[in-house]
Amino acid sequence: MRTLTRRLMSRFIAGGVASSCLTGLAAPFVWAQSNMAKLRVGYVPVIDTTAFFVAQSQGFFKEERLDVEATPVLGGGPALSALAAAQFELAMATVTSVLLGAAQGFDFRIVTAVAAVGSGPPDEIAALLVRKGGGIKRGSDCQGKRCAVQLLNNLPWLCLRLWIDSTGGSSSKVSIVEVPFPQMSDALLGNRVDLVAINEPFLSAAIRNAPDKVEIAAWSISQTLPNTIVASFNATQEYLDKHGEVVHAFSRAYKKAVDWTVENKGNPVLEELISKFTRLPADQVRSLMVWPKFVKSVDPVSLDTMARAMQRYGLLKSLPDSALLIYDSARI
Amino acid sequence: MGWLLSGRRLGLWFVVLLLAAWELSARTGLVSSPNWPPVSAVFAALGREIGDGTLLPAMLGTLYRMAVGFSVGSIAGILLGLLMGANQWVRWMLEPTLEFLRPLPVPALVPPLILFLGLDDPMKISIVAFTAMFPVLINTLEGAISIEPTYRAVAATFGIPWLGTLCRVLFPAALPYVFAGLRISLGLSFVVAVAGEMIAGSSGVGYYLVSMQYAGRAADMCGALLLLGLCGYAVNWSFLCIDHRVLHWHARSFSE
Repeated sequence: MRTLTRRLMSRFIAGGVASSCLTGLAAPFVWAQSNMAKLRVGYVPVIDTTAFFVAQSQGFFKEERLDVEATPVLGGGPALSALAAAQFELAMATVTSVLLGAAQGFDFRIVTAVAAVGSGPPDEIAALLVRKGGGIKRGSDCQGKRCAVQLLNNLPWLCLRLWIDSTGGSSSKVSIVEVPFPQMSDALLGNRVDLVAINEPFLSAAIRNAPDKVEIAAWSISQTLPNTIVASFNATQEYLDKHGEVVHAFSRAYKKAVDWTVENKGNPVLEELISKFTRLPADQVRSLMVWPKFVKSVDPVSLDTMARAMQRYGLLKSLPDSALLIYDSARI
Repeated sequence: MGWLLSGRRLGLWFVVLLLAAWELSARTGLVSSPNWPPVSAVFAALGREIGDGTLLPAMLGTLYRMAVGFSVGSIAGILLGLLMGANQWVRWMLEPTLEFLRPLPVPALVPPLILFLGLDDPMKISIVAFTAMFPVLINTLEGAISIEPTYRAVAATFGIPWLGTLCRVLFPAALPYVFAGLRISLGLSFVVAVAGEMIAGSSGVGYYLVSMQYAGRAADMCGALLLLGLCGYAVNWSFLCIDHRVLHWHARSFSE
């Protein structure tokens, strides 16, 4: 019995020493983890979000002591709803959704730019695709035709109407229907619609699969709203008032990632990363015709231009204060 | 040869025929679209996605949310149905509200629910429970009010209290109706669980379907649909086994 007790005691002491050593080794890690700011971010898994994943994979967030928990969402609408419900600290959405939300009284603020378009390809994300020989070259050719967009009252719909009206047509006399991006080429080739406002990677896929049947009538966004911010990461004013420094840290990491992304365009490492988070096959990533422009700040002028276009087509009753909508971290 | 084409095997052969037609239509170019992959590619994608551990956890997540929502909705439906069947004042009080809520489409409910419940399981389980409740409620109510008046009279004669009558007379007598409602709700729960994930999800088969659709991976998407169909078939078959066991005394169950 005495031997048993001695054995038990020695095992107990050995266990205690081992636990203490392990705790001692783990302590700096635990301390470091507890000193990191936790950030729940909702993102849409599209190519636009590339810089965000570069920041994750290259450790830029960790360098800024951020513990980022990324949750994929299927669109900006659910992302902003979850942001308003305080399920996320930051949420990605198109700028049109943010402007609409702000107009409805939600206190959203743009904290970083995600993607923009330039003045033409390759800095573009979408095109207006038509059937070859279908006779549509300008907006005036769309009278009485059926056009398809992914979502009504969103950016592609807005740009389509701008293009029709600026090239001799009247967008109020054109039928615009909703068709999901993956089904757009089927709808076009099946003569269900006459024009589709289609984004990458579906644009490249449609042209690759039927090069003799479809053609690009116009570049959707860069021809109507050139040099415009398309998507952003957003937060609520309430969160920014309490944790502004966390958002600034996020923005610093994000901007580093944008630089890395721009420097490494065409690098297989970047293509593999995009393939991983978008689930797109790697060969499709490599064969994209156009890419979003990764930018580090939001120009209030481009936001005003977008807002005026939205007001023109009845999406906004009054123009928002762009200066108020753009948080410090997203300014030029 | 007769054995091969007899009875339930005929249904199996019909499925094989449809799959063969699908494969031929894709291979010969009769239907030419990247969204119409050959069946062989679909099975290959399904095998790959199950093998690398992507699809099964998503499926289990969906089944979990479906099961919880179905259970909550069914229990609520049974309790409300019995209460409304046992007491006409309760029925008069609740019926207008329930009939107003019943036709509301789930996709319209998701956005406001996100505001209150977020994007995760509470929201998805809530919409499944909401959907599952009504068929069970209506069938239970119908069962409760269709009971032979003699049963209630006998219960009253024996001095059984109100709660006892509810549990030992009304509920057993309404059980065939309850199970009919449960079977309808089970299918709806499955559909709504997947639909909720497709509208506002970050996990589950519904989210997986939309991700694959938007990644241009039609074969993977069709593979997930195939798995969904198989799981739905298995869940329904399991329910029928339970149905036959519990309602073995009921004439209807002998005819299936």
